[in-house]
Amino acid sequence: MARLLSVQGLKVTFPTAQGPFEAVSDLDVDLDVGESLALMGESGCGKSVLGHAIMGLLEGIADVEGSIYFNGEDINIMGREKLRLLRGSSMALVPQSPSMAFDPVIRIGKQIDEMYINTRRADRKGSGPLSKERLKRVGFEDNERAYKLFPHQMSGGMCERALIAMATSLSPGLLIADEPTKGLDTASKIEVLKLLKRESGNRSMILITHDHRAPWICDRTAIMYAGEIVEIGPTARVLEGPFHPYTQGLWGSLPNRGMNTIPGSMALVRDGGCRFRDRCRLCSEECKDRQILRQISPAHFVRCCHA
Amino acid sequence: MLELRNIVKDFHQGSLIRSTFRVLDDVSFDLKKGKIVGMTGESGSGKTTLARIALRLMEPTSGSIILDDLDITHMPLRRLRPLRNRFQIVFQHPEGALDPELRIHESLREALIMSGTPRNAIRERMTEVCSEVNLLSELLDRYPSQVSGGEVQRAVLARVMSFHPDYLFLDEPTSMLDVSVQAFILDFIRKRVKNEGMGIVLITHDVDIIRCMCSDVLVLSNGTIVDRGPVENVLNERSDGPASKIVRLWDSQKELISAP
Repeated sequence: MARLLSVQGLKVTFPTAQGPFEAVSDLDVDLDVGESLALMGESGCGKSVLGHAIMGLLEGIADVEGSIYFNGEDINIMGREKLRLLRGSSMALVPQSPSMAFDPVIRIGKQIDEMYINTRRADRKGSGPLSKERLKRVGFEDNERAYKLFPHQMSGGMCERALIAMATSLSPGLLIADEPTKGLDTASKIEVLKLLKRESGNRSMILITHDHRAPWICDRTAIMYAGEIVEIGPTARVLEGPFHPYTQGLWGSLPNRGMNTIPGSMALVRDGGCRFRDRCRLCSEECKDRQILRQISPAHFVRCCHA
Repeated sequence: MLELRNIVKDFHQGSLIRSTFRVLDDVSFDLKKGKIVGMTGESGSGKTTLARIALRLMEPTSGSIILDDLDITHMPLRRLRPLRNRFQIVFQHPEGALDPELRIHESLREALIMSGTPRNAIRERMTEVCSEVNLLSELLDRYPSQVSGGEVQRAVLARVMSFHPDYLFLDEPTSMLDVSVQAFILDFIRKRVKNEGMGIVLITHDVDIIRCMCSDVLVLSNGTIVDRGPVENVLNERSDGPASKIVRLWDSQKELISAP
């Protein structure tokens, strides 16, 4: 299958008062056309930063090294104008906190209209029917009414679906959804995930999530820890037969699997060895060496010398 | 015991054409010390409103709130303030819970002073409460906006627990956090309940959390309690009670989202 996205040796460094902080380190990941990948890991592990780096949204905020090839072109060295044209029409982000993502004083429909108008796909008159069609597709039965709503008149689940309608309006080849089910009740959560599954049917998707069931809508799942991918593979393998001690710890901390906490907290000290070793039950002398992603079964890679 | 008796709450909408919307309709329940009671129900079923009313953060339209045999429904705030330490709440969005203009250690200090800690013991107590919630001491000098959601929520818990409340409402305390931080926070809450015997209402959509943390559960729907009782009876997939819809939906999530 054709490759859509290829991230190679990505390193993202934020300047902080305490000195530079490396949020993502030497990260490699590929995504084929039509493939979907779930990204999981605890807060601060770099999932959202990776999503923002792919969208080219870190300019002036962080130092980005390495390459991000999108359809064969490196967006890290791409001109600002070219990148702007790419965003929205070729790749789109569904940001966190949907209620904050919309302009609070403009009706939802008008905000989706702008996607078409700004890219000259339609004029003011022609964009209305297109937006209403999008709203219908994301599950608003009464799309005429939804078109006229203000963001504050929508529930969390409705806001999330409207945001997905907006992000997919220009049929981008890559959709990045950042925690789309956060704070939703069970019914709305299932609705949003089913919608994302449908929308990713003919496009690539990166789903950043804390929900351990959400990855089931994706082909592959990657687990991140302290800026690195520690395990990546087919979703069923990573969820049901994880190899990395951190992934095992993560699943073991679920309420229905005993809720055993992982001791300690995410490492701030990085010396080139395994970043999880001070919290790991398997820690040994070899863990001080640099760990690489090793293949343990078809398409399943683990960054652990004990795997 | 914290008792809620026949709580009714109406919301009024519109300024020109007034319409009334009943959010809570005749809700009663008791919260005993030493128990963790789960509360669940769809969005908009009235869970948060009920918690806010129990805390006297919102006036009920009718009904009464009784804190250890003392009717506090209409107690003036001046008299209520000294009782505040005894019943507390933690909200879903940790970002809004701490004063954004105070450094984390200042927020904690304030709570320790209000709960009557002698001035010379404050530093020591603060180290204690922070180590309990695994909050690194280098974070104490930061403002809430400068730390992660999980770290703010731990600071909020450290603050709330330093009041040693008798009754505590936790409104989706971990829905914004990842599972490893969630496990830590829930485990901490469980230990505190065991050691101090406080009564907790844990509001969540997560049926697994209720199964693992709570002895009893209340199920709200459209402003009324439609089911209540021991968790193993109410949240049982084989039961056909009012909660069965919620339980079945929860237990079949994987199948529902994986289905083509």
